[in-house]
Amino acid sequence: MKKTISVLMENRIPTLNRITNLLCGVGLEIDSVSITDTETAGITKMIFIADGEDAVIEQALKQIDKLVDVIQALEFTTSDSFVREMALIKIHQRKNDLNDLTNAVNLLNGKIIDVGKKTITVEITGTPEKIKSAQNLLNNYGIKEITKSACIAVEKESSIIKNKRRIR
Amino acid sequence: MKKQNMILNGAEIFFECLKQEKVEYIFGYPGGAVLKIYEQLYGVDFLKHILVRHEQGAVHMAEGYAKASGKTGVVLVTSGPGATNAVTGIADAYMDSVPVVVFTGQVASNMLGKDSFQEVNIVGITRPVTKYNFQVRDVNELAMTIKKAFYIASTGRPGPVVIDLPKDILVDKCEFSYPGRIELRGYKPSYSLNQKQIKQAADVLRKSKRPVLYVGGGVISSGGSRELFILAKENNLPVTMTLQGLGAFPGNDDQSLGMLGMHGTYCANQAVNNCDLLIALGARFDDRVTGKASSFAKDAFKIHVDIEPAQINKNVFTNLSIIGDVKHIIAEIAAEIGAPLNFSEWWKQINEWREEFPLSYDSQDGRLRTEFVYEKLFEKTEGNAVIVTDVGQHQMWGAQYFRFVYPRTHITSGGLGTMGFSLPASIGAYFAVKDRTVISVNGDGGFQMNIQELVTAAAYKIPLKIIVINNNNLGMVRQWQELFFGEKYSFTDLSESNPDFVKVAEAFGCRAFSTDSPKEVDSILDKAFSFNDGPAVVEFNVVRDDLVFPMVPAGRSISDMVVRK
Repeated sequence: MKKTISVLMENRIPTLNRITNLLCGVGLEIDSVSITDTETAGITKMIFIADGEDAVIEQALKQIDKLVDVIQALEFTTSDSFVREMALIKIHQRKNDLNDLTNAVNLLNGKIIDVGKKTITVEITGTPEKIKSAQNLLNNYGIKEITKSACIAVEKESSIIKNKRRIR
Repeated sequence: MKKQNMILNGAEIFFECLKQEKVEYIFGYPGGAVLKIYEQLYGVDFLKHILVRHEQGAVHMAEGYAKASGKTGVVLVTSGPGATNAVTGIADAYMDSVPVVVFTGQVASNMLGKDSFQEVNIVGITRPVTKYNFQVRDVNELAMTIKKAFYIASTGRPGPVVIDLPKDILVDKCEFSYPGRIELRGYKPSYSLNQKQIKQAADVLRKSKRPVLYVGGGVISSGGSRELFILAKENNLPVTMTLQGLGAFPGNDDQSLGMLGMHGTYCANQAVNNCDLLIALGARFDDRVTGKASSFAKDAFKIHVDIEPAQINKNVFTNLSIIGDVKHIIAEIAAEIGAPLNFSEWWKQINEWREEFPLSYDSQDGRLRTEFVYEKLFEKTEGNAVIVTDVGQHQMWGAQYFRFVYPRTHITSGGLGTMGFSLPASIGAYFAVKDRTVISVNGDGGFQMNIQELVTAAAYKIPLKIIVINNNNLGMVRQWQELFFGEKYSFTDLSESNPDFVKVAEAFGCRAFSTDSPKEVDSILDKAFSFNDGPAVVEFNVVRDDLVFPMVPAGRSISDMVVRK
């Protein structure tokens, strides 16, 4: 089952190396990783989506939490958090279906950010499921290239309260 | 300490920090990248540098020192091959939770990443086998880094920490001050107690009919042997120990069931298999202990006490976990129990198992066996010696037949199973406990893996008793070949190629003795024990094809134990 893991850490690159080493060690596949600054200087947030058995993920989470540079490692369920992803999708430019395409993009709450001679670039943000369905829909128009951001996530306030954690 | 607020170079800061950490010994080997430190060492008198003959030996010495003393062992090696040679020792310390700080030399900062002479990315290499590691990038960070390293290595679940020192850092200067306290945002080992959990543990214990204490190395490293003794003796509790836990509770006490697991005693394994309450104290449910994890103490309520949250539910699911310092938790549980408990019915059953299959070996055919040697060693020392074993059959026989009475008297490579561990580790142990006899026990295979350290022992005139159990075979591997690999004794027979160990030992500057007769064991040990002007090597030529029993085949349930051939 897929799980969203959020890790607050110091020393970005060595810690990233430690975490990926550890995931290799337990044989856990990851779908995506995002690493960014946080509101606190010197602290990095890493979010990754892991796919594996619950026991394996729990063990990996404990091993990550144990690392000296990891301040906190948490697992979010889908209902406890907001998860978002962004996709930039280049679609083959064919004159006759431009209207159609614009409608489809609007329907997906997306934006056309570039119209070139050969391709049109579309930007879409949403849950990984939404991005997946957008990809399916836009496939009808001929996708030339797709680039996706990693998933980012934030825990819902209600979940933090439910789990008796401090709101940072 | 009037040197505070002085401008010092990196090498001077290095020694000032070690002084603050009260380091007594460095096990090291010089080389290009650490020459500045060796230059500085010339005027240092508060610690002693022990010159090893191979960097792996240096780390094992630091481990032996740490395990025998409870202090942190310190290693100093040069860059490149000096550092890579140390890796096996570092991994060994990692697996057995031994506090060591390893300083590695490194090429100058401006030469990093250029495939410079004797450059290796040791921080990258050791990341998976260290509790933490650092590369110092600025001399201003050096003192703080060393402070952090000693703190991380020795607190929580102990482990090795590597500090990589680029050459230029040792020459650069800055104002020196040693931090008194440090805070690490991501590292806060839990030493506080949860009274609710203690109460629950005591309640479960009171209600239990068939409890067993399963004791690991954590009890020894937390210094909790006394607390364990009180808890067990006051409440009539059976105690079984892991390989690393031996000595935490006196092995010659009636309440000791001996070691459990793959080569554990019949009664310890039966007790664990049939108990209704298993209390794991500073142990990690290693596969050599549990066999098939899903059937381990299947019907028991399991309590797991450990300093490290990551150990909980790792291999075996437990019903109650208590995170914290094992020593204090044991004391609290004992205090919470109140009126002493008694388990006479349970003991009746345990004693039946004990009598059913006691540890035994053939002592009638007049041939020399390892078990007999250990019995003699125990007789001679009454358990008041540090026994440092290597890896293999002799290691298991040691765990079975030498009844370790005191904590920190049994030192062995358990987690990684590093052949060649014993000789250097026993040298380190000697520097920790000079008033105790230190005995290194080796197989003929493992002895040759770090045999160069005989020179170190001889050079420092260390009165080690070095036993070589020679069966002219890699015995434990041979045992597996015999039992599980169709008796194909592929490359485990050393009889044609083994050197003359007496000549080798003498060439290295040691006294040497050899026998294959049980009748001569006493007199030879007497000779070796009365020679205190340097190391004495005693070769015991033992039966070739004995197997270690009992044995639980790997991955099988403990109830599948094979008691004898």
